[in-house]
Amino acid sequence: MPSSLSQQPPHAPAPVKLITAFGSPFAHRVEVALALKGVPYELVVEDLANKSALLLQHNPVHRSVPVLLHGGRAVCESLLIVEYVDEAFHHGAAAPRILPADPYDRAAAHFWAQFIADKCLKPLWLSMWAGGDAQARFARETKESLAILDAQLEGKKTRFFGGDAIGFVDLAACTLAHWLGVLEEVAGVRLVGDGEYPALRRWAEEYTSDETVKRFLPDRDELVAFFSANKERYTSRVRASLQQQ
Amino acid sequence: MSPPVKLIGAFGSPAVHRAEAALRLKGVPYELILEDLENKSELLLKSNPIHKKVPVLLHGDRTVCESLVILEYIDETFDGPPLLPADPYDRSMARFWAHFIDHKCAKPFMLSMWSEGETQKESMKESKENLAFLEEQLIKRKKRFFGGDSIGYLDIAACGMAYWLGVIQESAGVSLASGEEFPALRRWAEEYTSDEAIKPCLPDRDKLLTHYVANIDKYRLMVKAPPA
Repeated sequence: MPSSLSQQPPHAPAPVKLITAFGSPFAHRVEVALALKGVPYELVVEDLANKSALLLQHNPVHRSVPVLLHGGRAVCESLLIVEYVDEAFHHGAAAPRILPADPYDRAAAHFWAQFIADKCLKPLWLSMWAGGDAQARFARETKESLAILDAQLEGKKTRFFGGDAIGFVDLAACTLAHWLGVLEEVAGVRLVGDGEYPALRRWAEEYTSDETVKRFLPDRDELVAFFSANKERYTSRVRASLQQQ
Repeated sequence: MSPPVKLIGAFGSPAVHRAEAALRLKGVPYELILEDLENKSELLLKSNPIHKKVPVLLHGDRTVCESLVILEYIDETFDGPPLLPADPYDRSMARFWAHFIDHKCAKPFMLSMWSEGETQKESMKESKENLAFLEEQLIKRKKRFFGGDSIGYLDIAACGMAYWLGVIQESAGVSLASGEEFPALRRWAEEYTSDEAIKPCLPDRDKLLTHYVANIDKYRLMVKAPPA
């Protein structure tokens, strides 16, 4: 492990700002990470329909939230930010680790986070708004992935993907814990049947009841209202992107 | 004494090259097991049941899949020159641009090469914008490589741009950029592909070109079809 990870924090720690937007599960990941590490920060809330100069300046590539500003330097992409927070604010043995210490365990955590992002969340989002044949295809892919995740959890027999404490993979999967039901309701697309994925359900319950996580879960009714208000925009954007092939 | 390292790979795969490049830069001996991807072995299917893809790193009884994950594992597990920088911010930047290459560059590039009409035109525009971002990053660093004075994680992650881009463009008869454009990237590609550790694990150019030409109809169909 690089030696900088065990150094003392600078004497005057640089201020941290987090550019976020209401309802974003990606921003949620970072807020939980900052809270787990005990890092104070200032929240800058964007209206994504009217993006600020600050956001566009610091995330010119993706123009999305969250963006972490630490001493004026910007870190983008939520899971990269979580990893950055884990590495930059590692204040000795007492601080909780979001990613494991062991390289092989870290590889597993990276693998599963990527699997969740690419094979669960991406088709999940598309299945909500695509309609027609595409919807059935994405729904099938999502469900296959959820089954794999469920089997992973079942095999581990721990409260969380990371073990007894919330870790990197749990944050990666947070959408499944709190946003999935909201999306299903707003889109009118039911992906998860009664009794399906019992280990995932148990995990979702554990995750959303955690004292730290709870503070950063947006109110469910507000989420429903928010996604409902944006439903047409998501639908047209998803369908346009699928046409492009 | 570290347990033996095996790498399941396939000819011509930039993802497999990433893993080989990392192992060679660290001076780690390994056995390369070449797959016929049309006829995947039991070993591959057992080692990577979820994705069934190469590369797969086998280190003793450990299995690591996904090329960027493999890069970090190799960097953290074996001695030798570090591939990722030490500073957390620099690390996050290296990872950001690697992800950019995989998630934002790959699809428009493939569409530029193998689609037609308006889709191709839009994709070429987007591909050039992507290259411009990477050119800017290279210029900013004022060094031979993305990683600094020596090859690092991001150089390896960007290997597709250093070597495969040229071959694929030639096979498809599509040119993304003129000889004058992206001079820093061109210089970098030359440096990367001439490096003593990298050269031996780059696929033979003629063989690679033949491979892409032979499969072009398949690729053209692939970009038309909806994702499986």
